[in-house]
Amino acid sequence: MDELFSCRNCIHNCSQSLHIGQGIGFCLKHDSVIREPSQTTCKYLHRKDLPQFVVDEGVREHAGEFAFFPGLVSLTMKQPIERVRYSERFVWEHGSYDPLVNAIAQYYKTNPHWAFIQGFTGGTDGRRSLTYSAFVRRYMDTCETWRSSYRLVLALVDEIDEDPRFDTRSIVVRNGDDPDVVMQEALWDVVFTRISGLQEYGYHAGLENVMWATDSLNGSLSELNWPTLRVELSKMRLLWTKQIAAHAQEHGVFFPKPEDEYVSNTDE
Amino acid sequence: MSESALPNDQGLRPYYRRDQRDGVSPPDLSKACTYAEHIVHARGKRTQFTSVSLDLMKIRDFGDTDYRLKREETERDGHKLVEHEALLGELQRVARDEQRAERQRAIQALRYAMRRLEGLVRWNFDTSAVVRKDLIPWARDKVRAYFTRV
Repeated sequence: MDELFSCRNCIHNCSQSLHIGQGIGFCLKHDSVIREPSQTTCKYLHRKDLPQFVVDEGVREHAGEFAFFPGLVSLTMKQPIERVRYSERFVWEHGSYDPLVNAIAQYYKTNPHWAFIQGFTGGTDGRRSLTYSAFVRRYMDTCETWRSSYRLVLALVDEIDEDPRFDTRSIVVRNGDDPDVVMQEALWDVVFTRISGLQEYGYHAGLENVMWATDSLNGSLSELNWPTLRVELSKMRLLWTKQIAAHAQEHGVFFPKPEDEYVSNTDE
Repeated sequence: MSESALPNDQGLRPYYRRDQRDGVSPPDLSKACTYAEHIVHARGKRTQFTSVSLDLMKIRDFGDTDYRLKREETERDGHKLVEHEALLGELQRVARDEQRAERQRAIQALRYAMRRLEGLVRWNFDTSAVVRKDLIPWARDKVRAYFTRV
């Protein structure tokens, strides 16, 4: 299933997943529009569906396969794809405007980046929640530390049991697909992206039980039963929140200035 | 269940694969792994297994050409077809009983395997006379003999 290695399943293309986000995508790694996200990849792929540390061998092999391409590449043809700068004018003129892609494309114009990312938290829109989780994960990955990410991860944990909602414009229903099934799959895309984000934080912070958060979720995750998983996540949310906050306090990085206006030099 | 998943005259359900036009992609017979590692591609795109499905409609992203597994020949020659239900059963067991990475990969693999009505072929070729670096090209022709275009 090569689509697992496509831009759809990559954190650098925040607003799309295997079942979420129609039309063009936007790659923050290459600062480029992605015209065919299911058919595009590159050597920097960082999967959304699982934490990086449980699929690292496969991802390394993929990086090796595409190592000689500096930018985006066609997944099946292995031909380089030219970088396309985002143009708000162009998308309006060509009927391809997408509010989330439009927002994400402004990322490098803003500072500090973490404040921009915080704007995607909250609410029940599943696609927006996917975007937030992917943004947090790439922020952590770029900074390679938990110190500048704990506040973003606390917000991620805060919405970890939120019921993601989708409308038909948000999901990818291909010819022959049952929209209800796609809706359900879209939900799992969000849930796994969120949980994997928490686990990657656990990896960076050295918090073993957060790194293996899935072991704390009893039968409901393996049964892919969202209503019961949601109840378990609600319980774990409080515990994870306390633990992440306490760990940050222990290390003296938990909002060290009362006004919290500083920007650390590890920020992107 | 779609029409393509109906059993044949021997009561055996056909399994399909969608792959590239020039033939089914070869496995990497040197790469032993678990079912879950194969399904989520945790160890790369090729392993000792070949994925097949009970329904071609469920595996559209695998390629542009449709193939059917010659399952009688496959099993007659000593290769193992892991049926869809058996695969789900094993993934459910790992998801229930194991921990950490194994468990996590099994949970995601379960989701993908259910959606794709997936089964697996575990090839049992005698590779003792094949140099490791030649295993993939060697396996290409061997494996393609067990598939027919539909």
